[in-house]
Amino acid sequence: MNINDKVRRQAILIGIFIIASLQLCMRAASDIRNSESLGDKIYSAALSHGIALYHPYSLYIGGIWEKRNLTDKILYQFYKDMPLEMCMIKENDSGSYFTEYMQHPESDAAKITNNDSMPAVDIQDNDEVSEMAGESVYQELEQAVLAENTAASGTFIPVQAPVAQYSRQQLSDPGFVRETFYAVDATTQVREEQLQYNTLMGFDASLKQDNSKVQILVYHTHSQEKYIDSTEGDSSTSIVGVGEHLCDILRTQYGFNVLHHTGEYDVESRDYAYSNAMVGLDKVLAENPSIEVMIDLHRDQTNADTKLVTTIQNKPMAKFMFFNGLCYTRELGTLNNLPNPYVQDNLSLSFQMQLAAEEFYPGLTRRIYLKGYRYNLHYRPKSMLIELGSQTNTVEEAMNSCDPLAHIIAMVLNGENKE
Amino acid sequence: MAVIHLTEANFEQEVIKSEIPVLVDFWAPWCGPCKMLSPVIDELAGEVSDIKICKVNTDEADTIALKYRVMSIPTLILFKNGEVAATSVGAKSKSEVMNFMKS
Repeated sequence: MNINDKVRRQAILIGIFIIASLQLCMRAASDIRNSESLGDKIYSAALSHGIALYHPYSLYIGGIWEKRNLTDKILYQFYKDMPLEMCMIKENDSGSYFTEYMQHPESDAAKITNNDSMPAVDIQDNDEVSEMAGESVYQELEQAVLAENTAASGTFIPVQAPVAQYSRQQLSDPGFVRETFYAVDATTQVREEQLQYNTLMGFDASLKQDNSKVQILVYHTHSQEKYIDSTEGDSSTSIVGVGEHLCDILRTQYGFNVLHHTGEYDVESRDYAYSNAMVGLDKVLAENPSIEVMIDLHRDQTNADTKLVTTIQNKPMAKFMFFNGLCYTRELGTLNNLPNPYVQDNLSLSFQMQLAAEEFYPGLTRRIYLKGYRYNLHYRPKSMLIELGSQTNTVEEAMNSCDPLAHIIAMVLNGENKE
Repeated sequence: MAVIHLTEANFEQEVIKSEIPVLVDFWAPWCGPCKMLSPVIDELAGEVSDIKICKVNTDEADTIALKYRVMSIPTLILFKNGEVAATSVGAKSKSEVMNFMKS
């Protein structure tokens, strides 16, 4: 084969290649040009995936068009066949887009709509969206119900999300806060600035130390308080037994280092019980300076016909009440002989507990009771006094309440109530 | 029976003067737990005919919420003969709401 034959053969091959390539390109171009449904198909795909595919159209038209380069020009044929007019009209009729988006929060559509260049859309005012969002949280509710059914077999399942909510606008009104959350004893009074929502919630109640040392002290100024079916002489069925159960839950389920002090200060008389308790408390705190939280657990005394019980997860539970001393009486004014630098911190702590209780377990707590004296709440900023049930409650009701009470305490001490 | 959205204008007619019991769901757009309860209420509205199912947006009809001392939401109030027969606070399952409607 001479050189001319070689050249001729290569020229033929190149020619065939060029013709084949041209035919291929022409067919592709023809397909694109003649495919009237292409834009529709893409648009339909956009619809079926929410707003995602609308986004590149708007980007192209709005931003890149004026700065088009070679790539833009090549793509022009593709884009000009897009049903842009229809797309814009549909975009204004936006309900179905966002509904779809809400139904598939994990889809690509959702990711793309989060892009900063996307026009801002106020989906909060869209009732349809809200209801669809409700559908997804409805599944959470069903899970909660499932948990509740499980709980019927005996195991308490801590509620994982608030089931009721207060308006933050209302909470910023101290008058609303006082009326809704507090019962003020006639002998004292609370100032408006003490009930400012930002102050109450601004207090950092989270624990500062790990559980290598004692974090929480539970004790009973009135250790002799009993329930309607408590066994005489058996402290495991009195407020002390309920306190031990609370400690056990706080230790085993929430991992706190808890000391249960079972000193008795009211055996002969309830008079001076708080003063008597100070001796024991001073000793316990000296031995355990790491204690951050002090809980004085009581059982309330009410009218004989008052029954403080509610049902949670099919279990009867004794209602409980947080209690604060303001070191102020109407008769004597500020009680300088009973100073407590932590009155506001005490108030903030009990308020945070109360709010968490009302939002996670509505109806389980009574209103926080405010009285005039100090009640040994001056030892720590995070000092609490809790009245768990009354003399008309059963031991079982009181024991049952320890589960949600421990959960509420854990939420606040872990800072989870502010998440 | 469809859910009736109550306002201060129609509350009297739809609730107080109703000849059948009325279940009112107090809610607001900012309330997460209300969104849990809302589908339950909607579903029940399509199933029951002997109880009227209504909703009150507390942001738009705060005087009604105030009158019935609705502090936190969602709150369900069951009215019978124009009077409050029972109140329940918090999101609930369908079976719980059905039990509440029997109270």
